[in-house]
Amino acid sequence: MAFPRSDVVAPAAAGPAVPQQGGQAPPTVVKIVVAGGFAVGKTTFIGSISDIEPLSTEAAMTEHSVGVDDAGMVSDRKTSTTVAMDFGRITLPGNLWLYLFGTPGQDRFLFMWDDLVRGAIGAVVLVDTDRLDQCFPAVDYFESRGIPFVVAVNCFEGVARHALDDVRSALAVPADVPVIYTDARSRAATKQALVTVVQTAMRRLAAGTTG
Amino acid sequence: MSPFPRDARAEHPDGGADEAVDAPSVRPYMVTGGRTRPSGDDLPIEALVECLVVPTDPPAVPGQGAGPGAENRSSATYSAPRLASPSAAATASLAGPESRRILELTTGQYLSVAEISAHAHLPVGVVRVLVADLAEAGAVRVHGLTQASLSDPADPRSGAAALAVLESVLNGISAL
Repeated sequence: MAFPRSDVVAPAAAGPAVPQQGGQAPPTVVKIVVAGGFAVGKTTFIGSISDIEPLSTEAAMTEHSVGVDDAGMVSDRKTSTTVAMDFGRITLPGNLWLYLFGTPGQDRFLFMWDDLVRGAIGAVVLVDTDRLDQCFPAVDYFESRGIPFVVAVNCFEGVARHALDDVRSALAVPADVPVIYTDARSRAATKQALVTVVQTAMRRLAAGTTG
Repeated sequence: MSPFPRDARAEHPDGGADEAVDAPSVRPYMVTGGRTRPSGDDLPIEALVECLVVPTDPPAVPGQGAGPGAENRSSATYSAPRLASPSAAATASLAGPESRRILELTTGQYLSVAEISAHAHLPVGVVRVLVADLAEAGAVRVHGLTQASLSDPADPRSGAAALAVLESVLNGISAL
């Protein structure tokens, strides 16, 4: 059966139903995915703007996790593991909740991304220019799936060491993909990166609806 | 039938690892009766959950809670699930401490599947199954599903709706 949606679920089944949370209508939820290589600053990026302290969730990697959680016994032949996903939340006016989800930062977790990006506005690909190749899988992923994304060069120490054009040509991203500087520690810079993602998504959407 | 061993202690999946009988926790998928997928569509991790029942009450609901054996649900039930059907698995999971924790967490506040996972220290997959069960039983309501697809190319009207949402998001972030 289809999952009961909020608009069709029968409240009569709830027994002693309590009013909705404080009488407030449920927020509209949206999300933006923050991707990039391992330790490129995704969690810092999320934490710089999140209303809540960034949380880490356990995401079971496979459906075969049963019985292998005692690593002491099975570590040599472990068939599955779990991977932490960091995320944050921003409350916006108009009863909007924006979730920021950090992708598990290694190529071997790419298969988990489908779940993460489903329904997302778009993505920020954080880039460390010293380890440019680490963001290739993320760029490939979002490009191949037509997901709006922004390449944000994280300037550690606030120094822009590579011209953005060099990064653009090294990554070979299409012209409609913004390549910007950011500073994962800076709320203002993070905000600007998110604004750019949303603008990119809106451009894409407008282009798609008009032709 | 469940792919699960009928008795985890007698028939350990690892082939006889000696698990302490009084282990404080059960394996995550024991909680869900061996199911790894919700009974319906996958819940987005950002879907918001709202508790509809008083959490101090038994989270059983009419039609689900009065079955035979309902009064015996203890932690042992999870270690040795004897489940006749997926719906029996669903019913059993409703009585567990994990489900009660979900109800507590979502009382008085909307909370996403991801946040429940983080606060309850449960894998996202387990939270999905339990929330799906709770929703099916009417104990929680799930919000945010209709926003999951911001741009559905098949539906021209969704483009305008999505644009309106994006506009609000853009204005909201800009005003931070």
